[in-house]
Order: sequence, then C-alpha cells, then structure tokens
Amino acid sequence: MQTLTAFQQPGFSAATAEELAQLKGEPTWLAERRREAWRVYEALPMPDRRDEEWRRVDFRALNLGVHRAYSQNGQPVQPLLDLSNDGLRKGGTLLQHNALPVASSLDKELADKGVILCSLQDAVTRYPELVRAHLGEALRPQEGKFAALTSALWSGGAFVYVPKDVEVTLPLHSYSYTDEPGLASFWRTVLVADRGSKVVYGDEWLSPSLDGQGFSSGLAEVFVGEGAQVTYVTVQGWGRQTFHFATHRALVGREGRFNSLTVGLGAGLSKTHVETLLNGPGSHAELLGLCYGEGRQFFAQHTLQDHISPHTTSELLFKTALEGRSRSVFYGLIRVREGAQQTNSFQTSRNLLLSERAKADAIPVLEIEANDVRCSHAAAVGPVDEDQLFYLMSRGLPEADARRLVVVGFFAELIDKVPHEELREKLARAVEAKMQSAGARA
Amino acid sequence: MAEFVKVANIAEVPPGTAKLVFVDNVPLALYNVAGQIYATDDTCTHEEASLAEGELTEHVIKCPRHGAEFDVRTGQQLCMPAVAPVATYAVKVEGAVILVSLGSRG
Repeated sequence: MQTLTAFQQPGFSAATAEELAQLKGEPTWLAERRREAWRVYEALPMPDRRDEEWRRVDFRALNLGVHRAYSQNGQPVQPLLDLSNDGLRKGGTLLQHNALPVASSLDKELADKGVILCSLQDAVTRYPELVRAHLGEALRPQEGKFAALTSALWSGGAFVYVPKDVEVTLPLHSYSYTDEPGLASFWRTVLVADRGSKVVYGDEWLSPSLDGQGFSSGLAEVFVGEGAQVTYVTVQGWGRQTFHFATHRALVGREGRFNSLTVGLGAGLSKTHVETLLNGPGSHAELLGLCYGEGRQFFAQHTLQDHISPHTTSELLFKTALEGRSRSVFYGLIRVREGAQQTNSFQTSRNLLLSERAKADAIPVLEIEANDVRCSHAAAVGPVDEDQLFYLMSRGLPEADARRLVVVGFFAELIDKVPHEELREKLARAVEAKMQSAGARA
Repeated sequence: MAEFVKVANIAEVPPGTAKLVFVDNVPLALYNVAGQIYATDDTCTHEEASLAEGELTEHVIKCPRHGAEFDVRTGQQLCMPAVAPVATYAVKVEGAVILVSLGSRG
C-alpha cells in the first residue's frame, strides 16, 4: 500500500493533489480535475506587480514553501463553538476545524424539502451529480494562479443546495476555524439556488494569531436560478499572520436577485474579488462591503458588476475605515456588455482615514458598450470630519468616544442596508469588537 | 519595544546598496551608507513600489517607480510625488550580523 506523505510536508506539488484525491476517496472525474488544475497552476506565472491588478498588492513575503495543504486534526474545539454562537437563529449550521467538517445540523423541515447543507467534501460522495454539474462552472483554474492552486488542493468548504421554489426562512451558516500552525486553508463554497428559491447563507473564517505565516485561498461560486433570491455573507477574521486570497462570483439568472455582504476584518494581507454576472434579463444585484483595518493590515477589494443581459440593475456600496498604518485599495468595475440596454448600475466607495498614516486608494472604472444605460460611480477618501468631532465633544464626550461614534455612524448606512435584522446586529457587534481591538493595540 | 531580530549579514549589503528583508511578514529595506546601516519600510509612501529596488546615492534612496526620494537616515521625504515620510527602524550591528527592531519607529 502506497504511503501517503506529500500532504504532510510543507510545500505543494502534483503529489499533494494526487494524495488529497486518494485520502478523500474521490471519484475519478474529481481527481482528474485536480490534476488538470495543478497543470494549469504550474503553467501560470506568479502574479506580476507590474500588472494593474497587483501593483498595489505586496505579497512578496508570502512563502508558499512553508505551508501544508491538509490536516487530519479536526475537532469541535471551543473557539469554533464560540464562533458559531453568534446570536443568529439559523436553519442549518456547518462547523469546520482545520478544513475538516466536525459538526453539522439542518432543520428537519428543510431537509425534507430537499435543502442540502454539508461540507463540499461530503457532497462529492452524497450528491455527486449536483456537485459535478456546478463545481468549477463559475470559477475555472485558468482564472489565475491562486484559483488554480485552490482548484487543485481544496479541502474545506461548503455545498448548499436549495430546490425549486423552496424558501429557507432562517439563514444557513458555515463556520471555519483554523489553528494548526503552517496549515493553509484551501476552501471552496458552491451555493446553488434553484429556480424560485430563497436563501440567506454565510461563510465565516477565523484563526488565532500564530507565529510564522498563514495562507488562505478560496473560491465561492453562487448560482442564482431564475427568479431566485440569494443573500451571501462572508466574514473574514483570519489571524494577522495570514495572506488571504478569495474570489466570490455569482451568476444571476433571469429575474434573479443577489445580495452579498463581504466583511473584511482580519488577515495581514487580504485580496478579495467580489463579482456578479447578471446573465439573465431583469436580474439584480446589491453588493455591500465593509473593511476595518488597523496596524499594518492591507485590504484589496476588487469588484465587478457585469451586466450581460438587458434590463439588469446593480448597486454597490463598499465602506472601509482604516486605523494605524493600515491600507486599502478598492478597484470597482462596472461593465455593460453590448446589448445590455436599459442597464442601471451604481457604485460607491467610501473610505475613512482614522490616522495620519492610514491610506486608501479608490479606483472606480466603467466599461460601457451599450448606449441606453444609466451608470454612475462615486469614490471618496477622507479623514474624520473635525466639525463632527467638535460637535460631539462639545456635548461632553471624550475624544475617544466621539471618534468611536463617528466610525459607528460611518458604517451605519451600510449596515442598515443588510436585509436581515439579526445579521445587522451581528455586523454591528463585529465592528464594535474591531474598534475595541484597534483601541487596545494603539 | 519589539525585540531585535537578525535580518541579514553585513556582507549582503555592500556600501552604496540596498537590500530587501522581511520581519514578521513586513518588507523592510536595509541601506549601507558609507558603512553605516539604516532600515526603513520598503514600501514607498507614494505607491506600493519597493525602495530596495531603487537607486541609493549617499543617504538618499530614489523610488524606482515615480522618482520620489527619501533620506534613509530620517525617513523624511525629499521630493514629490511622496508627501509623507517613510518609517525608519532601529538597527544594531553585532559582529557581521544586522539586527532590526520593528518596535522603533521614525
């Protein structure tokens, strides 16, 4: 019997992908996909900082040779349980520790209706046709170096399926906690909302501060069927040692509605692509993003509102607050394809600098190939309004409390747009916790 | 104050040159100015360019991307397009070893 050892060693190779497929007992089609993804990974060059997409993203410190791709150590550890105890009433929960599923639950009523929430790993075995039909259909290895690496070495992640016309009233949520030093997190989420269905689903990642480097590379594919409504929420809370690369892409069908909320609070360097392809006429997307940086954190947010069919609409609001020497880059593209007439698309990036050394770049872009559209973008970067501070302090508030209220007010506009009350409360608590953390480190 | 950590050997930074090093995943640039070693953030305060790839003339480093200049001894920006100084760090040389502390900021 062949001894499998590559996955236990730092660094990645074709052998790592082969062993993962064997360890998981994957079907031939999936093992071959991993092999192909690895070939693509090897053929692609590392991103070049002369490319516009990467020119402000300094990932030179990332050393891919020190990370391992897979762990066999997964337990329902207390920090993971605490993470999932977030005050949200849920219809289903998936817990993953070191990318291994350790617990899951789903309301019986939802299961009886055919709703699925499980790890992607389990879904390969239990629902092979569904997985095969959707995995990699929205995001292919050829998209980029890290997409190819994730496609070859993915281990953690979730599979969500909502059948035709089923409405999932309470949110479904997946929580991932990684505490094994040197373990990379390669995750994939596949969310399929069939025609006329409705679901709110969240992915959340957390790791403690660890020595050395952390590495997270993930792909989320969301399929919004005709007339379906999907809200996809992500909360990234990796330890400061982590380099985080992620692409979230939604394909929205006719009359479909897609809401996303992307929250970035952790990691030392985070580069997230949030993309919506409005494939079907009458489809709509609302993209919300929130980042709060401190210390030397860096956030790059690349967004895409891609209007492919006519009569599609989209709105985007991304807000970032930066303390210390943290940095952010927002690159937002609205693309209106030829024939996508009667498109309405709006994009707003607002950035609040809470210290002299914080820095934000906002780069809104329009590519318009149709001539009967309404598109607009707005970007602003600025410090705290001194008049606002003075007003609050003149009412007796200490400066620290006044600044805190300014930050709360800054994010309130965005939080109010989240289409779920308990999610709004969870988000407000997360922002408050980050403020406390930033204050403690100052 | 953060502790001093070894970042390079003196032989790796000949006089008149700059070298890129990492401390806690933070890129720093080391400079040898007539035998004296200085350390700054490697990232230009104008854009995310590497100062270690720039041209060092005496105590002035010139960013390779748009030509901003900094005094490596103080971090002070000397010309546009930089409008903010670059952070500097305490450096110790013990024998042949260069050590830097991230806790000391300029």
